[in-house]
Amino acid sequence: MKARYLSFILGTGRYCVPVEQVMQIVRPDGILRVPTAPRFVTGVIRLRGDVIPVVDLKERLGITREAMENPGRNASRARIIVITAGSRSCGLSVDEVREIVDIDESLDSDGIPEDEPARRQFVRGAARKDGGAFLILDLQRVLAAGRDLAGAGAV
Amino acid sequence: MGAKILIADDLSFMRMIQREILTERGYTIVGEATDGLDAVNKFQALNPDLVLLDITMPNMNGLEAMRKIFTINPKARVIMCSALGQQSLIVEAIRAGVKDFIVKPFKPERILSAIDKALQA
Amino acid sequence: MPVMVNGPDEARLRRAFLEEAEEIVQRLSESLAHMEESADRELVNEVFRLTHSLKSESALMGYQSLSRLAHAMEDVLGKVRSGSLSLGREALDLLTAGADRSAVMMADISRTGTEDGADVEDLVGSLAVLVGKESAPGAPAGPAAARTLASARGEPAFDAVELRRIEEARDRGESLVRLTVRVLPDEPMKFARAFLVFSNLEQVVNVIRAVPPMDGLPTRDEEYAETVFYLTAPPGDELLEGASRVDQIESTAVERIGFPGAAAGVDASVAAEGAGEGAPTEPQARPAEKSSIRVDTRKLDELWSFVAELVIHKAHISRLCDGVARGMEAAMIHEELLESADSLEKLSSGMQQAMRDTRMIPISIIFSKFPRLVRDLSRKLGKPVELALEGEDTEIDRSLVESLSDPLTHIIRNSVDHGLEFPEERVRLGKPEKGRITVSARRQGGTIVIELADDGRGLDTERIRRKGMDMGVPNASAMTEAQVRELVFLPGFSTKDVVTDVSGRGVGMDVVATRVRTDLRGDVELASEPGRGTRVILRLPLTLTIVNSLLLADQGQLYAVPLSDLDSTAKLPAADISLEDGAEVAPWMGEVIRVHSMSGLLGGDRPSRDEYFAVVLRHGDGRAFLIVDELMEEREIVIKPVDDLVNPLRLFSGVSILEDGRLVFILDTSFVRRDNF
Repeated sequence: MKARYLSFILGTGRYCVPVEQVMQIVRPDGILRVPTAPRFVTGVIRLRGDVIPVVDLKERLGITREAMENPGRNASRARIIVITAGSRSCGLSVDEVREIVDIDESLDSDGIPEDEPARRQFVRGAARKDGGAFLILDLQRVLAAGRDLAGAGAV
Repeated sequence: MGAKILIADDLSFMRMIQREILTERGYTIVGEATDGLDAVNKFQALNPDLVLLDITMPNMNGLEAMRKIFTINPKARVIMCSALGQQSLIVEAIRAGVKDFIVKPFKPERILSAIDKALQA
Repeated sequence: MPVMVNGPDEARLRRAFLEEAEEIVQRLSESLAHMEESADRELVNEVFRLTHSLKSESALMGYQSLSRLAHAMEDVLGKVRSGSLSLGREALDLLTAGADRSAVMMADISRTGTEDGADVEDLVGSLAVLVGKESAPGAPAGPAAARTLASARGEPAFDAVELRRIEEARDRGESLVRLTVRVLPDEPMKFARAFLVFSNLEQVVNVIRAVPPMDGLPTRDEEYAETVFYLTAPPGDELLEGASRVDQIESTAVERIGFPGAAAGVDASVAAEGAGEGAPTEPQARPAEKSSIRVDTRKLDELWSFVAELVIHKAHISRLCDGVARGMEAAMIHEELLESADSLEKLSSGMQQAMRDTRMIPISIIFSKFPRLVRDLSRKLGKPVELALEGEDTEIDRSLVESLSDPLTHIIRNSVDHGLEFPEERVRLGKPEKGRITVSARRQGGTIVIELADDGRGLDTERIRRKGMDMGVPNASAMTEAQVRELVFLPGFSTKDVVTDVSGRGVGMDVVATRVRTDLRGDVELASEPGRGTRVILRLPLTLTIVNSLLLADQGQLYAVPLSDLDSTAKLPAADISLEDGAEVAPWMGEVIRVHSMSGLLGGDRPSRDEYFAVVLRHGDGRAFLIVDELMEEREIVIKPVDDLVNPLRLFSGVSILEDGRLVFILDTSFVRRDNF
């Protein structure tokens, strides 16, 4: 069954999220730092009066090393894709936003990288299109805020 | 001769501090009250020259106590003590007629200066 | 305070600010130079706009001195524009000096990031004297700085009621006095001090107005570091001095000033005409009362019925307890408790709603100012205008009233000033001679919709698009009409760029957009038919969660504790902290309670000091110390939800953003429990 996705680039890979979950695309300006947030959360931004966390997707998916192998990447294309998942909203920092694609979700999943289990948990499927692989993000997992982040004084 | 002062605060160490500062200055502490009701009763019995009232106390808060004290003696000298987050209560107290207030934690000079001024008026 | 953003973001913001501000100051200097030769209307408007932009932007960045300087210059230019001040040698020299000083300050900011050490008092004072030429004939007592600040504000425009009172006082032989009271900087409750003076004054003289106002609690206590009271009093200063003999007051300055409109004869409407124009720093007309409020008794009745139910419920629970004691079956207890919990749930949400309802007041409280505003504008500009108000009964949250007033007024001004054509043109176009403005409010589900419509020129989309392209907005040429209309909300857009009218003041809609979208969490959109009119549509959520809290600072981050969760503030000597069962404790009020530190809660260590600033938190019966770096002020803040991603330890119940852009985390004190022991 085909569905529309917004695709974007992280490092050397192509990823996508369902279009109906995309609220807005903004420039990565005005990110307010937050001391208590985990590493993969860059901070928060104000959007229409709401305070929304910004997730550094590369950090979250553990693909920073790959990004460094591409020093020529144009940093000015970086954007924040603001998505909603249920009642939550979140901004995803990406290297570049690309086109909207029609993807058949039921297609094979041989695009999922076998050798990086850390990344796999955040990817719920993959599709081949136009000679490339599009990895479909599992937003629920990306947004999961685990209590595994230890803090001494918390009861 | 030192002026007669009544101290009202539910915290014992607060009363102790105030007692120390004031007696050193030569004031006479005629009584200590631990709640609003106690303060009003002691005011009636002891007729002090000035009352130091904490704004939040059990069994009748400082605001209520002050109002009752004013019905006993409209010319009563009352100084209200308050913590940082209680500005709205202080404003209420001013409306009700308090002449001065002190914000805790306070320096000794502050409380002495406030009392000196109140006694002169 | 500057926008609190760390590291590269702050530098980037500052770079952007400097780029733009430097250009503004450059153009300012050039234009002022041109003005030496010939000062035409166009030029004056341009310079006015430039100083206005400089004022707003530097204020946003927290550069107070620069903002004040720009503001003082804007005041002068405002008067020149309206014709009440001529652009003489003195004015030009001062303005040029102001531009030069701004350039110097910007070089400083560029180098050091702050404007520390910048002193603008001399210029601000001189500029203020230019503006307030009619006032202060007598030599004011008190420190020069106080005088400068007060007169920099200009005289307020008194309303009809105030003017009448002043009139009557004059007949009694009293004079109009401006009493400026300064509170000592170390006083933590400045408003209360000012209020104390106010309360004393009211007993002996006739207080006309206080700036900032005395009704309700302030959002920023610092605003009351200096308060100006306008009052009438018989000759002799003893009464005034007696009333201001309050502890912790640094200085009092008494100035007898001339009666308003004295020269032009006592015509209340003439003096009040200045209400629309004049001093931009004019205090807001009567903000909604905050400390005592009027509530429809029907709403109180509803609340009362909830309370009655609560009492019944309490009895039910008591009986359950008896039942438990008498050995009632566990299953039955369980069932009853479930029912109870359910009823309590409904009761509490019902009560919350009922309480929220008491906060609602009809929007007519804002609308009531508009007829006068429109009349004044219409008269001043020579454009007859008809105003229609609809939906005045629509209720809005009290807290919205103050914030909504300005943007709506602004939009109406724009309509009359720029949207509506002059009568001759209207007739020529086949429109009725009188322009028409309709302001309507209605409720749509959980939103309030306010529409302001005029039947004027409408928006010139192409003009906006061109301006957008000039400004470098990406893709401006390819945007749809709706998108182009959105551009109007960008900073840097003045109304001049939006309609074909070229005259008049041009202050942008970006201020409105910020206020509505950010502060009020709503939205604003524009609709327009070229030649037929413009509509501005505001949508606002019905309720905001506002909580009175104490602000704290720790390691550069702001936190807030709702006053209801706060027992007191304290200074905790390190020596008092001991270890008990592996947890840190300290004595408090005869007991021993847990000691936490903000840094500890976040996974770090308690800083090493001899003595700590702390608050005593409360949750139910439990108390605990929370050590922080700084105790700050009490504030009413709007709480917004915070996502778990940013709050993984669930330490916070919400987040707030202050007017200056700083982030505040609201503490969830449920970690304080009596059974810690």
